Amino acid sequence: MKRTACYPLSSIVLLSVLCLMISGCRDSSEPPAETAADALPDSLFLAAEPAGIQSISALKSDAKEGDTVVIKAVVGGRQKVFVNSRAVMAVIDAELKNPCTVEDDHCATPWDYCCTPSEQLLSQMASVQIVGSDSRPLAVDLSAVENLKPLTTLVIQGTVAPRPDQASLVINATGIYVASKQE
Amino acid sequence: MLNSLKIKCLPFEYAVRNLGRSRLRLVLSIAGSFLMVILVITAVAFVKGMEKSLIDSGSKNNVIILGAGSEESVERSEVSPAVAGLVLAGVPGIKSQLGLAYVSPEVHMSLVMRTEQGQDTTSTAVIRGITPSAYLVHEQLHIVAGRAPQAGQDEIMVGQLTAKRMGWDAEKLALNKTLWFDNRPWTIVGHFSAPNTVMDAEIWCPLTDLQIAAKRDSLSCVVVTLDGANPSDVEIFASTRLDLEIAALPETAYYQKLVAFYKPVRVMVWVTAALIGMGGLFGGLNILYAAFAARFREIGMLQSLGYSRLAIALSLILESVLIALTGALAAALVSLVLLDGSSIRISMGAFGLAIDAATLSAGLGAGLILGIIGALPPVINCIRLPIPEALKAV
Repeated sequence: MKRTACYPLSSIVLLSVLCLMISGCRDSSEPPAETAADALPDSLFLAAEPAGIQSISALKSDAKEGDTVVIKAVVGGRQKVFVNSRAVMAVIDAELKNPCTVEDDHCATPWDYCCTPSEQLLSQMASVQIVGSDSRPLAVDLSAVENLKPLTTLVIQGTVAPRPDQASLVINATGIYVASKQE
Repeated sequence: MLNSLKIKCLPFEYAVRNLGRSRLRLVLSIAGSFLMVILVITAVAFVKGMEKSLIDSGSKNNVIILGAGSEESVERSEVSPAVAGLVLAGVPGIKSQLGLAYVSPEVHMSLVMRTEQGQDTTSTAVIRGITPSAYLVHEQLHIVAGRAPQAGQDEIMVGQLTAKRMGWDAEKLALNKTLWFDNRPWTIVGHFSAPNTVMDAEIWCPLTDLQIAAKRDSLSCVVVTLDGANPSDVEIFASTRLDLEIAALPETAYYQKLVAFYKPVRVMVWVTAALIGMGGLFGGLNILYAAFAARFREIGMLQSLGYSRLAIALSLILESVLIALTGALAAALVSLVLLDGSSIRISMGAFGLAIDAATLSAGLGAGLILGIIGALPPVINCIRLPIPEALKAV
């Protein structure tokens, strides 16, 4: 019988690896990630709670662009509370009870206040942004900031941004005091 | 060093000739491999086809604006008709060409369709109310026959997989045929193609006509194509215009969420394929155990001729791999002829099976693994006997 030197095992292993590599290939369709290039100002987080807290609903009825205001609010009100790679977040007046956080509610996203009627929610909601010298929100991913997690209670000091509508209230934050952290 | 690692192998022809010892066994083994591989190819094609149709439906430069709280379902979403104009005015950097802005207000609904008035049917289709700007933002769509529907004329346009989605013959959706919804006939004036997207199984009609038929004035969503702006610019607009109660997310992210939603379906497909594949593997093991058990004396003789256990094992594995790959190649050819281009109907629409290089590689890889792993236990059982015992085996 003819004697042959052969390497069938190595060929088989090579072919197997090749097949697995080819079948493992897949298209990447993720949208390009935006870079968060800016940094929050060092003076943003306050050591002491600012005085003169006003309710969001009261501010919505009479605040004008440029007014200096202080609100006590919870990070939340939307399923996605932080804008990707921009220093903008949704907050809701801390006085509004959140039925989603009741122990036996088992809500998967309690920060969105989904158990509260939307009309009631809208009057108590505001947007908070941290802007740069060009008055545009800083390129900072707030969801990565340790002190700012959904359901964290904050006292925010800032000025009222232009108001296109009575229902909208955007505050350009100049100081944030973390009243209670959310673990 | 390399020479010392070389082993004295049995010739390739020895393995090939052994295949013909029992033709019935050979055919059964090839059939088992064929069935398992075609199942793997179908499962991979199903999963890839579903993912591809969802992922390709979104464009990287598009952002979809939905009602807040309805980010996971465009059909459930309600957006004010004013949003289209407000986003165009409020977000600089939205694409425009010759004065036309790439801002598409849309209504998406699932409606029961009939071919004649009063027909008793449950065939539903996703119908999308559009304005001409929809053709700008959804670049994947091309009209392949007829023309675009005109507002106020009760006209519609259907996709290439719409008939499949509804479980109908394509003939029922030919040009100039009519479909009934909202108790009136709508004439099919165009056919479109949007390959590998959910749009391919939809019906499109003018936005205002659908709003009148559905008795609604709100939109389901607004899709915008960005030029200089970032998706986060639209997100900021949505976050700061609380009065509009909207949320914005990249179109690709929206469809990624749908991919995640259908994960249980994909898991079910994989589990079913794995269970049937295990059945095929054990069937193959059974056949090979019987085949190799009858060759104890032959193997003892080969060992006494100086062939090592490893060389004999490699030859036996080669036999198994040849059988498995023959079945796998046949399965790959059959799937290319029969499965490629065929479409599957599911609740959200229809999608085409994707028999591409990666799918075929997965099938052939599965055949190869079946050939190697399926042969190992019978081979070990076969070569473990000492030479005197093997030579005396009956």
